Amino acid sequence: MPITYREVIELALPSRSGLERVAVDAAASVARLMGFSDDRIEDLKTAVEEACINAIEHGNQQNANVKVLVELIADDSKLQVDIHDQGKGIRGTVEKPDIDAKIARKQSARGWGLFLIQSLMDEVEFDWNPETGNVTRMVIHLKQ
Amino acid sequence: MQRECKISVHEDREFVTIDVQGDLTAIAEEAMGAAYQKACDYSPEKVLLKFDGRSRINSAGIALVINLVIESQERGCKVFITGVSRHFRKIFELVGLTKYTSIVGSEEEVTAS
Repeated sequence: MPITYREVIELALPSRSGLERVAVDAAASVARLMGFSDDRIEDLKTAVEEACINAIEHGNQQNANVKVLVELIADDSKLQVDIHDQGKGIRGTVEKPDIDAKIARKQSARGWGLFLIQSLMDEVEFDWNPETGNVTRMVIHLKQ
Repeated sequence: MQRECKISVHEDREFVTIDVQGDLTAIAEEAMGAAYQKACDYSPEKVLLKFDGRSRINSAGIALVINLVIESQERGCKVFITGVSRHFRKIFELVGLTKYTSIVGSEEEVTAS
């Protein structure tokens, strides 16, 4: 029977631009301890950075008195990162970024955050409820 | 919390280099805009965006590169990129920027192209 474990690490970040790097470094440290490859750790760092920036800027409107809660949940097969903010989450459809449209000035040059998160993580979900607020949940699996 | 981003511009006979030291994020927007305008003063046919090998980029940084590509295309100027990590290159491929820029291993490749 395989040994199983579960560790939960929590961070509470003031919603101030730049502090997303604290969550990025913490997630990378946990992933390194779990044995993820350097390439996967780079994927994780980018996804955590983008999700935290969204939480700080859009979710909590850069109000430093409101915290972004980051949960790093590690077990023997995966790392789950939950990023909570007090925003309303994603409403309606989000326009898929298209490089050709952006180069042709038909789309804003920005808007790559969700695309990067979904491209780089194994599982992504977004959830919102009026009591707990908005959560972005990302999972990467350890390949055996 | 981020690596400071220092951007400078150098002219070569064949092209203009925009040298980026540090992470390319939203805080680099003003510096990148100023650097590109300075680069345009030389009316280059080629611009080389040179990173320091350890630079990271996020979605806001990608937007800065896209804006640079748009303006360069409108001026008939080709954009080359060098000094990027494997992950940086992966991000560029994911978003499609490799369709509109050339990632090169050295400045000599820019001259030869």
